[in-house]
Amino acid sequence: MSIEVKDLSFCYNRGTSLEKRALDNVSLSIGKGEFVLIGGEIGSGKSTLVRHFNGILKPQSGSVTVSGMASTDRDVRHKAGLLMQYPQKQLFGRTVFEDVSFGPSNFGIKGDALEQRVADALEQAGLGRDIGSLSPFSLSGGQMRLVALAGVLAMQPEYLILDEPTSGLDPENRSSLLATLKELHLSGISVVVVSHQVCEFLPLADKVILLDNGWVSFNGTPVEYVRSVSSPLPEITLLMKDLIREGFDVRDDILSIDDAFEEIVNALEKRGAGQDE
Amino acid sequence: MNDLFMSFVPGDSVLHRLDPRTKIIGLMLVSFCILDASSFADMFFIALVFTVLVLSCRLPLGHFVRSVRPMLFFFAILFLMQLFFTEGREVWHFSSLSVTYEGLLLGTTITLRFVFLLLFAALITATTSPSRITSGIERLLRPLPLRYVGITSHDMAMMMSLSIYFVPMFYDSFTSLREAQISRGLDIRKEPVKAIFSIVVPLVSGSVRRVEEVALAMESRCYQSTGRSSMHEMKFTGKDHVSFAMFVFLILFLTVL
Amino acid sequence: MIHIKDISYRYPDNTLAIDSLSLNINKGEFVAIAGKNGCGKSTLLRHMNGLLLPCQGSVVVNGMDTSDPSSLMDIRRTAGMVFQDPGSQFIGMTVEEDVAFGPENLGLSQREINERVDLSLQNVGMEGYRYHTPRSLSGGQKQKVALASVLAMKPDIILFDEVTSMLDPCSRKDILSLIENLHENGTTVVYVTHHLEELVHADRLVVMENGRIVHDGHPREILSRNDPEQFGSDLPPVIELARRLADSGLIPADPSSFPLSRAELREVLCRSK
Repeated sequence: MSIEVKDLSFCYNRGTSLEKRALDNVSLSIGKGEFVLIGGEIGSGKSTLVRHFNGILKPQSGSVTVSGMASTDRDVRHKAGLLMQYPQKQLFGRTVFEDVSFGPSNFGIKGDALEQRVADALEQAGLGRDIGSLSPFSLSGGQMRLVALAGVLAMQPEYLILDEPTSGLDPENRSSLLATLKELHLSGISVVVVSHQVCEFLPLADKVILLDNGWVSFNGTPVEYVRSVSSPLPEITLLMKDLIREGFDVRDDILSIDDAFEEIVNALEKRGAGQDE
Repeated sequence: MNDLFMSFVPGDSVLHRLDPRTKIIGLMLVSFCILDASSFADMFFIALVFTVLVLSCRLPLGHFVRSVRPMLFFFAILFLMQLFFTEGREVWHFSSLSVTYEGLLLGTTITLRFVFLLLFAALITATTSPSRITSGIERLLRPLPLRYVGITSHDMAMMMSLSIYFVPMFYDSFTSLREAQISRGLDIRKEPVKAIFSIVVPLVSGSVRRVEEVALAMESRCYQSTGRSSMHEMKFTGKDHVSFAMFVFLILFLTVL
Repeated sequence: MIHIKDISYRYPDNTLAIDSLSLNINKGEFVAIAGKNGCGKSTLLRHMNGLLLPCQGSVVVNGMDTSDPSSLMDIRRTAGMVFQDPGSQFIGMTVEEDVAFGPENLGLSQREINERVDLSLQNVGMEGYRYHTPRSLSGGQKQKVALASVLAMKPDIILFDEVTSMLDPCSRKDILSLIENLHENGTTVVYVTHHLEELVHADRLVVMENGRIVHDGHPREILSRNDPEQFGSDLPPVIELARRLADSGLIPADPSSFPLSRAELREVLCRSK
């Protein structure tokens, strides 16, 4: 079971002078359990693409199916849970519980089952169930974003889709959000992240898809990505590429500080040994 | 698209270049004439004036049609009300409802008046940028003794332009909130009350925050309600004087007619 | 240029945001202020153009005390501020009007306003967008307009409040290089940020914690040894790598030559090979 996108095209303001093509014959597949990163510049069509995954936008041509179900079916919305950009702005409940329960209750979950779902979702988002009785407006910006995340998790989606989840977050909250996403992925949820901050998510991703003006310009693993794409690349990868140019014997597909450290230590030792001979 | 409703279309026609004050006063006078017009001859004359102005500003007629379109329902109600509830000579009837000659006449003229009011207003908004309209209003309000109620004409103009500015911002937040709540399974047709609540609460709280931020940005850029100047020069030119002469002619003509 | 003497500030709910803090900022400096969320750095910045007034102590900008209402206008003209959210500091209906807003408040002549609008838009490379509406601009472009709007008041000091936190990496670089240019041309820059990799440009770093200053010195000195916990952020990967290399003796541990950027680390590594 997977999200299958086939020959999808989409234009905004179709038929007017303001017509703008956002997606052009996009085909791709997102497997169950994968962590997929969708990158690309502003206006490349990435938000438009994921709005098709849960049926907010309907395909003008081509098709989108989620686990075999057409994206135009309303039930797709809890299979593919979408967290919008700046989701803290969408909170409205008097209590965190009320807000998080909004999603599942729209799909007919009631009573104890609902309470259980909300408690689980708060736990998964790393908030703890005690927060349920507080007003969401009394929380910090970072916590509000996690409440919104819990609101999507409470629908128990097979696919968790996040549009620019770290945008505007301070580094503290950003690292804790990244850790939460990693855990969610390990627990078996498929995660799709849309972001122009590709480098931030590269270490977490199984697969990277790049969009350019509504086209899929790259589709592969993070290692293939850092080898074949020139930008944007993580500073660490760029450093290794710089060092190769300076004659160091290091790999060009390094993503983590640990690996970089090891490579540099080895390269310096080899060089040291070479000079001793 | 909603964006095109009563929107400004940049251009370089005579109408574009007229002083905003001339256009505002002109709109007021024309509105007066429209509300006073009762015969088909009057309506024809007004339509003629409108056509000439549209031609002179070189904008497509379609733009103005779109400005009227959102109000069509209102016009239809207005017309039907007059049509069925005016006493007089019956020309046609359907069970207890009857259409009278007077009703037909009154319905047509009243509806036409509103249509023309809207069209002329659209003519002004299409040829004058919102900020020039507000600064025009600001200048016109300046002689009024507003300071006795504690505000200045600059405050009034600032309030107006900010409220115009907030409309698209409001619309954008509304769209994204609607999408967010629909993503969480909201069915607007099934549960309209819940839908309104889940969109309006964050819309209002977000706007309040936004207003605070804009106020801070204004304050740190030295906003003051007196002693401001304006980048838009406002000076009556020959064109404005000719326009005023034409207004006088128009009014005289309509009173005589 | 800015003399902050022993100020304290309490929020309306009586929590202490700034705790008897003193700081002097000299003409032409590029001072970065970092620290955890809620450490009081934005609150401190808002004292520097009189948006907030201290409950105790004094803030003097170019010889003018912010507690004197009659000099507030002059203080704000001297010390302009760019805010975090590019969307909600737009005041005009077009780019041109937004930039003109400040000069209009100063009551300048129409010719002067137009000249300043032209010049400021050119400075940030947005002259082609003069008649655009804010809605048609990206976050980065809006932030450039916000900067132009401040430049149009010809300030001596510009205060930046986490201006890159909502931008994409590309626009972030653009804005940073604009700020760097302003600094080179003599503008005093005070820059509040969470992003330690942006501190490379600063010639002074102030780290705050619980409303007090805990470090004040060159970014090299501070970033080469202190616990990153205090900055409210992980170290940027390049700096973290450099620290580990220095700890294991592979590159010199001397703080005065500690590498803060990728280019600097490459240099150091090439020298040690």
